[in-house]
Amino acid sequence: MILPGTNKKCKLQVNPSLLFSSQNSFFIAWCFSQIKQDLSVASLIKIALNWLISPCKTFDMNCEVCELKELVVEQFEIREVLRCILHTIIFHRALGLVRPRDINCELFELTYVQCGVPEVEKEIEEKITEFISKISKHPNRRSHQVCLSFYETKDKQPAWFSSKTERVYWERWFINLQITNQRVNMKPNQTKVGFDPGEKLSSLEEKKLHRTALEASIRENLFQIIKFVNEKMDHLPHIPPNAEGISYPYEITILSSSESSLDMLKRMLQTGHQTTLS
Amino acid sequence: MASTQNSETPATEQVITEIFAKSLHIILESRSPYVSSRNYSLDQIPPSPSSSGGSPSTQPGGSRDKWFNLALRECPAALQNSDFWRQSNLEPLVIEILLVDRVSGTEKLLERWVVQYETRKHPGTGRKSKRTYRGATLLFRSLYLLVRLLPAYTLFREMNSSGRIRSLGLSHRIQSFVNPLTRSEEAEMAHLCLTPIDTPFGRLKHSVSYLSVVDDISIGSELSTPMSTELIPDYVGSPTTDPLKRFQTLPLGGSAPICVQPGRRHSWSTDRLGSLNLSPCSLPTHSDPQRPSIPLPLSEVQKGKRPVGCYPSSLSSPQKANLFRCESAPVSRDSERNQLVRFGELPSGVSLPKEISIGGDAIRYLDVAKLPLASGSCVGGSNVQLLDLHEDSDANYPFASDDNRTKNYEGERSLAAIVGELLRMLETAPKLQIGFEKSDGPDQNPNPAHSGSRTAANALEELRSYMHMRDSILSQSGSHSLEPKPEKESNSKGSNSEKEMKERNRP
Repeated sequence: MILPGTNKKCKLQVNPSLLFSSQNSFFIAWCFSQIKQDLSVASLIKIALNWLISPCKTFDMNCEVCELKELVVEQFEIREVLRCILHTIIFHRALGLVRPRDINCELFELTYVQCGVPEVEKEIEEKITEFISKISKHPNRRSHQVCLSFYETKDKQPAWFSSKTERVYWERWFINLQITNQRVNMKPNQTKVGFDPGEKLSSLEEKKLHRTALEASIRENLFQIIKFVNEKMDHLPHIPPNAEGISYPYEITILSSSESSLDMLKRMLQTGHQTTLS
Repeated sequence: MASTQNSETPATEQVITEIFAKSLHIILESRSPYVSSRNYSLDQIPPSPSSSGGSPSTQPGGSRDKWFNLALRECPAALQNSDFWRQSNLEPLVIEILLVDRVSGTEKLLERWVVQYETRKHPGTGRKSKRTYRGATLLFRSLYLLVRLLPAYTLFREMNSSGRIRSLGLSHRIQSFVNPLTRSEEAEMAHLCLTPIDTPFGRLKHSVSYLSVVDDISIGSELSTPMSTELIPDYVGSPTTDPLKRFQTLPLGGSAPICVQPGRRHSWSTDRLGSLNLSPCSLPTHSDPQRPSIPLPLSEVQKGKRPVGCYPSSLSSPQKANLFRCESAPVSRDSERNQLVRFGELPSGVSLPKEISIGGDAIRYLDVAKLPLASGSCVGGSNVQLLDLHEDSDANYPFASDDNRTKNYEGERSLAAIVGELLRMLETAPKLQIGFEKSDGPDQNPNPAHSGSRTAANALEELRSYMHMRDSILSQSGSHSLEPKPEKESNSKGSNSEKEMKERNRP
């Protein structure tokens, strides 16, 4: 079988636990069985998480995944960075008629493109606000992830424990952010008056370096998006005719790596029901 | 319609043709300054009738905008060249973006875009035309973003953002053949290829070679008209150009004569400080490691941008008088007093500025704004751009009259005549010696033994004569309503100045 989220084929060792009827159990049992294979635990957990964060228990056999390079950002840069990347991805996947809007970043020498659909802009702003409020509640956590997923809805046989429609995710984008606070290096009792001019200059230089590096990283991310979009096209579902604006439904979810992935999986197994990581 | 030599269907041929057109549109829209933006209402795009979504409507003027589901504004540069390559779709479309130096006429290749159709070696393995259209839709999303990520877009934005005429400009050249790059170009350029769009019998390739580093072109310094601060000896109204205004150059430092020319508005008056003599103060450049350094020209300064280390002038203030002065030459009262120059006897009815100090790194002029002469006249017209020396409260200027400055343009000709006469008198008047020395210096008493020295009493007499001249000018100009005030001010200031001079002369 082809592992979900990758193109890697592997053998499936049948385990008695596969007799469990729920898809959850099937998948988790399969995961444990695959630990014997050459796949690392981390990649397995990642695959499991990819699957588990979906509200519907579905195998995404043909889901393409793109992990963007990690960006080191300061608190106040988060909004601009996320806007840039989320809008760029959605612009590439809004294959209906769009009227592109060029947006010049305020913090960086960058221009990105929005698809020009007001609902998209509104939703992205709301999600970014949600993300910022979540990370502010956990200041000790540094790495955060935002997942942008595109899916299809399919009807399925209704059962007493599941819904009528299911979402089949065909593409996931993971935006990795590391939140940094440059003022960590400063002494807590330092005030503006007491600044050593030399130290102030060095902190200004550090800020400039950080800004330049971040701008280069964002550019790299954007080139990575272009490359991915150009290389993988076969998995795209059919575009309905006369589509305008957004042609594929999408969702934005927020992940954080506060607890280890194994702990999270364990928790899910114990609770026995789907919990979203956000 | 352009055609390929193989058996592409007409529908596919049309798609291929439109791919070329759209590529040209997207590239030139973000590389041709001043012609790309236009108020184009996209709200009323009619629904496309065909099933493939986004194909052109039959309405004129909007037929190409919605191809591949990417509604773009009109681009005149693209429209002008749209028929260029319609000879055959087999010919490549080569778009070269050049940085042109308008002064020297040299060109530098910034980017080369190549769109080329290639026939497939093994026909029959290609895509259907619908897939071609979808592939093109995806490609143009990437292309639209890509043109904005490349370094040349920064140049385009800068040129578009300012309406100034620059020495460097962006130009483009469209060809149907690919010139091989030189070795140096090959070495400094990066290359990118987008995924080819498959057609039933071929494929379309988009590639770009671009200069990855544009910063070393020194955009900031070259984009603007180079204007370094320099002496302009023959500015309008100078004694060299206008014999009527000839007067004796001042003996101390500096080489910039004061132009006192009432009644004539010069091109370098209030609004544009560009030709005003500011040397030897050189404006420091504002350097930024991220962006190239910009030697700030006066044209920048006059628009209100502030050079680092220099104080900007309030260009439009009719009351205040500020001039650029460099940090290296801080104004001090003592230095002013050291370099006071007095004028000789003047006929009644004419007044003169009290202090003129020139020296150090800044050329400083008296606040001629406070002269009655300055009403409707003088350097910079009614708004004289001079250093404000009156920040201290104890500054005494007997002739100071802010009220007269901007008012009263009547009787300009008579004023001009009077000033001309005054200047002639100045030429013939005996020279003054520098009477004011350092306060801590021992020689406070002017020594009659010094050649050409005058006593304080003489200075006082001169002052009184100046006051008379001023009053006469005022009366001539007919500003009756203002007379009481300036008279009062002058009287008070005159008495203050008398006291001051007496104090200075005390041992």
